[in-house]
Amino acid sequence: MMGTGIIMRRELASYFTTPLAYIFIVIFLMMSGVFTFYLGRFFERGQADLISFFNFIPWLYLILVPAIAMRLWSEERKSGTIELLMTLPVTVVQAVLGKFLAAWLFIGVALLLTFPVWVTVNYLGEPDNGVILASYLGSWLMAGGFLAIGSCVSATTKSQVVAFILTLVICFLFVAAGFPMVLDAFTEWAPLWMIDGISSLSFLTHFDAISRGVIDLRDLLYFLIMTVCWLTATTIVINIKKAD
Amino acid sequence: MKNMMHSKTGLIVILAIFIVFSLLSARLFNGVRIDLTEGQLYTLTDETQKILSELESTVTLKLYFSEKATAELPGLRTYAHRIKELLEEYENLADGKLKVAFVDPIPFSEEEDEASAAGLQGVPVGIRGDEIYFGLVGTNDNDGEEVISFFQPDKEQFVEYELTKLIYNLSNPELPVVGIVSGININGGFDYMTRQRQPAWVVMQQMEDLFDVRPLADDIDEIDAEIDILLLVHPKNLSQQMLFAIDQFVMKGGRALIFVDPFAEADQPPAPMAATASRRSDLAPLLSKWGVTLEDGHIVGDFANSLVVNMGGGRNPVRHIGLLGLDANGFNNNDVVMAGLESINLASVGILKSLEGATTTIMPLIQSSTESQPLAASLLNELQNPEALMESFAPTGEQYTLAARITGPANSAFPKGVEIEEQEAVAEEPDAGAADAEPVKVKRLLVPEVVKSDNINVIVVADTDVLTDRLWVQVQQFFGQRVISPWADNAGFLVNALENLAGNEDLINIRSRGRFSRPFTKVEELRRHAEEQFLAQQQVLQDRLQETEAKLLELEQMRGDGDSAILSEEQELELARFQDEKIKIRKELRDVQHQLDRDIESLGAELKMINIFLVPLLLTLLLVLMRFIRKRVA
Repeated sequence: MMGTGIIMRRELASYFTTPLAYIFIVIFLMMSGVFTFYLGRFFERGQADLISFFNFIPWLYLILVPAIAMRLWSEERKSGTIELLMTLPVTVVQAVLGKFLAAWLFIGVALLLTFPVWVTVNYLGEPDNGVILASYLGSWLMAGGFLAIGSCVSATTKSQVVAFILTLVICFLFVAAGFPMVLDAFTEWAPLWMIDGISSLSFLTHFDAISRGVIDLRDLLYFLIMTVCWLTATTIVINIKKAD
Repeated sequence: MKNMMHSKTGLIVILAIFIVFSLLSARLFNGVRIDLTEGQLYTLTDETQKILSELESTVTLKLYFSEKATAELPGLRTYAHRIKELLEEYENLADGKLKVAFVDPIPFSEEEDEASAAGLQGVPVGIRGDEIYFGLVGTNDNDGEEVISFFQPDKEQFVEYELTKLIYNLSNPELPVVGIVSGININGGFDYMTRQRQPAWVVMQQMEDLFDVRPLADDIDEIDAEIDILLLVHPKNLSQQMLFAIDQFVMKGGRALIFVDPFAEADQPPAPMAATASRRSDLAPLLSKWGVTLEDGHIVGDFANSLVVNMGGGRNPVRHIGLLGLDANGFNNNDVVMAGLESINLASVGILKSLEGATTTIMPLIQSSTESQPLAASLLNELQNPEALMESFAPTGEQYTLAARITGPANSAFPKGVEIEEQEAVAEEPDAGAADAEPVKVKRLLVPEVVKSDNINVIVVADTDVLTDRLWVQVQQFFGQRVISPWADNAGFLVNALENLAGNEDLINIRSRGRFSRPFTKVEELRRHAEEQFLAQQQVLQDRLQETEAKLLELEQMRGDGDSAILSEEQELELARFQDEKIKIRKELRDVQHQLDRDIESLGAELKMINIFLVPLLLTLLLVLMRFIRKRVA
């Protein structure tokens, strides 16, 4: 556990020593603002809720989370620092977890910095803050899922660009799993339980459920399983690559 | 294990675990959840639990959901799944008195026929246009049937109320009986303008779904014991025996819901040429005994709650201070009757006042804002332009009671009984010659059974127009079907009040949950504030106009009998000044109007800027500052 903490702190500190992290947060905040106010027509809707904001969060993540995740392992592998990391008295699991937690916290910070929109909605009307809290929690959990996928993909390749694109594609499949365009490919031949299963794999289905304000154990478990499995896969991939 | 973490087999195992767990978790962990919504929207209420635990007879629910046909609609499937879970929870709580079954009505199957025969709505979807069903049929032991024709996902907040109501109705098949006495055509009538029969008001239809509604004759001297609630709408010119009957009904513990009005707009004369009769309700002898009075000849003008009406014919919409749209701010939210209602529209509302020395408790249910003033009801008789009501409007700062609940001890209005005159009963075999004779009148004394009641239970509303369709609902004909879309909770108020008086308070508390509309109060406040300013300024400007006109008239008179076609120089100057002034005033008024929209627009723009740029800007500054400090240190 000590190792995880040390890695996490080291990683987190490294985020904030480069301007890259700031640029990332600034882009995230500005885009979320633009989406909320222009595409989501927040002010014109005249309703004191954050639906216009949270509707676009999964799509923002789709671009921005792979951008954070791509450097988790590919960079270390490319520059050879991964060997150095492995000589430190930390296990692979600790390193994987530490790096993941640092990135997850970083996204958490970015998410927290969207607080002006929460202040705005409370200034304009009387929103249901329980629903907003649940939505924030749901979107952070979803970020964890995205990030775990990115972590695994990043471990498989030395190229950050490849990691970025692959992560984006996989994440997109998970977001879109509940959409008719994906289900169409299955409806003709697959049994109903399989179609239900596929749509239940969708990030959106579970995020929508949480953002109504009800935290269901099943939705929590979904994100937990998603994260744990992909992180385990990351560990395996690193172990295999180390052996190569 | 160690090997697995180092081999490709491990990856395959992880993938398998992932898939199995994701699929299983959806089935294993049913119903464990935390409800963070305000008012616990997604948790079954104590009231539902109470109704379920007290079920008298067995109720069977069949949920029809088209599984196969909805494969491509995950949103609807998720919702259907939630409904299923909810029903399972109901089943668990009902202790064996509730049976739930799930049916998939496949196209051309027996189940589909069953579903459509029960009145479920089939909605066509997809390219092939298969009909999907998502409704519920409830039955009881006595072949009673209640149906929810389609669960609309956007009405999720009300699903518990709908389900519990359905179950309650099936388990208590006898509906409460509402007796109606109405001085207006609530049940429809003949419109002389269009020469067509008018349908009954929509509130009637809504009541008939939930109550056994019986119109009462208006010359009876006793109200049937079967009547649970008496509904009086616009009582007017009631006979002595009818008043006596109402008095005794209330004295004996009967519940009454009464709509009175100083000016009932719906009380149109029967024919257009008929003389304008009074449109005022009259129940003073009874109300005064119950400790309350409807202020005579006055309606409430309320600026803060006034509605804007469309004048048609290319004229600008105008604010009507006699036409009120009240929201929760004007409601007594501690009373179950008002709980959960969002808006009620009223027109030319009267004022209820409690009388000095009243033995009863008068609890206001609806109150006007502090920006109100009583206005003469007679103003409405010849009202062409609602703006005219504003002319002498000066808010008193007082809130007026528009509806109230009356409880507590009260005395009968007829302690000594009442003597009535009535036609003598016709003899069984009348004489041949007697047919043309004047009917013989005889006097009869009605003696009260109860002269003093420990606790009466009455709700009085100072408006009858609140029940008319035009104030709360849009009715459209759609392929021969009457489609109603409510835009205010007027019917909800009526039904709440009746349900409450009928004693089903449990059901009311469920209805009262959930707020689905959360408007920007700040923006509304700004809009109202701007309008107030506009009106104040308009008043000042109009005063100035009048002054100028008076000045002009004065000049005219001073000139005497000279040639009136030619204006004096002084007059011409004054006229020119008057016209300049008029143009200037017009421009100022326009500016004020623009300002009204501008404040709201600029608020929107400011918030956009703050949300998009403020934090990014601060972060950038922070970064620059940190670089600077680091350089200095280095």
